[in-house]
Amino acid sequence: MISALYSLALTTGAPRVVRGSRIEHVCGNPALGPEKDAEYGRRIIRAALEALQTPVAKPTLFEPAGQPAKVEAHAS
Amino acid sequence: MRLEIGSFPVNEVDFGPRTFWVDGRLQIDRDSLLAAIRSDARITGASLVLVRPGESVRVTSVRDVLEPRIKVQGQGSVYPGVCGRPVLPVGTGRSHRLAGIGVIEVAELDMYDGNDGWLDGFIDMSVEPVTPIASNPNLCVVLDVDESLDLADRNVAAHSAALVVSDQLAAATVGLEPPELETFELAEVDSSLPKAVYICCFRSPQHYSDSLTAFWTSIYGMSRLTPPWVLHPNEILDGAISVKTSWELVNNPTVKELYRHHGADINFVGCIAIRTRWSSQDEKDITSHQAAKTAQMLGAQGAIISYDAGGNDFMEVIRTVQACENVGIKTVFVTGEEDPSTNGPPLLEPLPEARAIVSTGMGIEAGSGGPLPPVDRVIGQKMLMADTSQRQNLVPSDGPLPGIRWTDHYGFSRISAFEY
Repeated sequence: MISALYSLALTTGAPRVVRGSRIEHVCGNPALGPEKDAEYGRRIIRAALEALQTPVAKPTLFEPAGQPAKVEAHAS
Repeated sequence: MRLEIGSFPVNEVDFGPRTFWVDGRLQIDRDSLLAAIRSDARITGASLVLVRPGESVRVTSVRDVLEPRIKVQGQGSVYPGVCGRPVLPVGTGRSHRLAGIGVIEVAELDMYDGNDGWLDGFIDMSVEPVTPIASNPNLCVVLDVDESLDLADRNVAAHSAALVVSDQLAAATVGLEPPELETFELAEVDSSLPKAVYICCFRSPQHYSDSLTAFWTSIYGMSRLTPPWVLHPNEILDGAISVKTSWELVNNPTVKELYRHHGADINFVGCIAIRTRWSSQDEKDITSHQAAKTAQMLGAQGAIISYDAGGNDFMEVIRTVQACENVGIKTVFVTGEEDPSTNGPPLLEPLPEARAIVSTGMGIEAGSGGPLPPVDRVIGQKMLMADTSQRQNLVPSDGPLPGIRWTDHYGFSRISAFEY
């Protein structure tokens, strides 16, 4: 499960949880611009695909490789 | 910080040639109030309607219910910060209130453009009242607002008009001696008494509206997502937190009850208000940890925690419970329950640290007092959502409705249990 609220996903027992971005854009971050957004999205999906192939004994958090620098999504 | 609140009971209310209060009787000069509202060019239509308990009427498009209050001594103004009112801290001096009447702001106007910005609540005066608002007579301020304005300006215009009415009604008490006068002060008490804090949590519309100034429950006029606030309980009693459910906020039973126990069996050290509906895990966790840290710095050994919204918000609220318990602050969590028909747990995320829970019920069809019978008259929008999760599925507002719509967040309801 890819989730912005990964703690909830873990406490409710999802076996494999990938740290998503934010509730409004779980698999990316439009504030990064189109190229970096797509790249970030790919990293999250890749982490999810790797998680699927990883045996787990309990709810486990998977980090997308190289988290991007944090960008304020509501800089209005 | 010392606040006196003078209460003027309203046992009888009617329209008449001038506005005055005497011996429990409130007369309202409808024409002069309407003239005051209409002097604002943003308001294109206005009417004032009294509704009474037992009347076959349902009030829809409810944007807020204000309790008429006025500051008669001391700095600031009640309901500070909203619609350009002064932002000076409130909670000192003396305020007067009309007890037993609400001013309902009615306008077919979304609170903001975005999810949950629409109005889907209603007040049913026809059935046996279970909440204080439906138990009182209410003055509905029914408004049309200039449609050429943007939504944010229309919201400010509508609420300003409701505040004009609330202010002018409360002004009838200026210069009069209140029949009841209560003093609220966190006087120094026996230092061995356990210290308690109230953590109240309020949904911010920022995430759903993508606006820093969306119209919604505000703290000194601010609705945006902010770090925890430390508030004196007198600020809450003076309306520092208002809009959407102002009546409930200034009459918050937890604040009043903590005051009653102050010096007797607890030491009430203050309130912490947090904003909820952050949209990343880190932001939610920061809020929870900082709320617990703030409670710790206030010396709290116990905390009562309440909130005013749904599942998203629940995340930082339940984690505030957890964070408090983890730093050794005992908690009591005041919460509604999830619908059992979902087959999930009664709490969305039942963390083991939440050990003492007060349930305020469900507020939805299952287990509620519905269905509500049809009514003769509707004030406000003529159609309502049949189900709050489906905005398109509308039913007539005057027809039978499934039942109580929203959770009673603060425990005002007179229904304590259903036998089944």
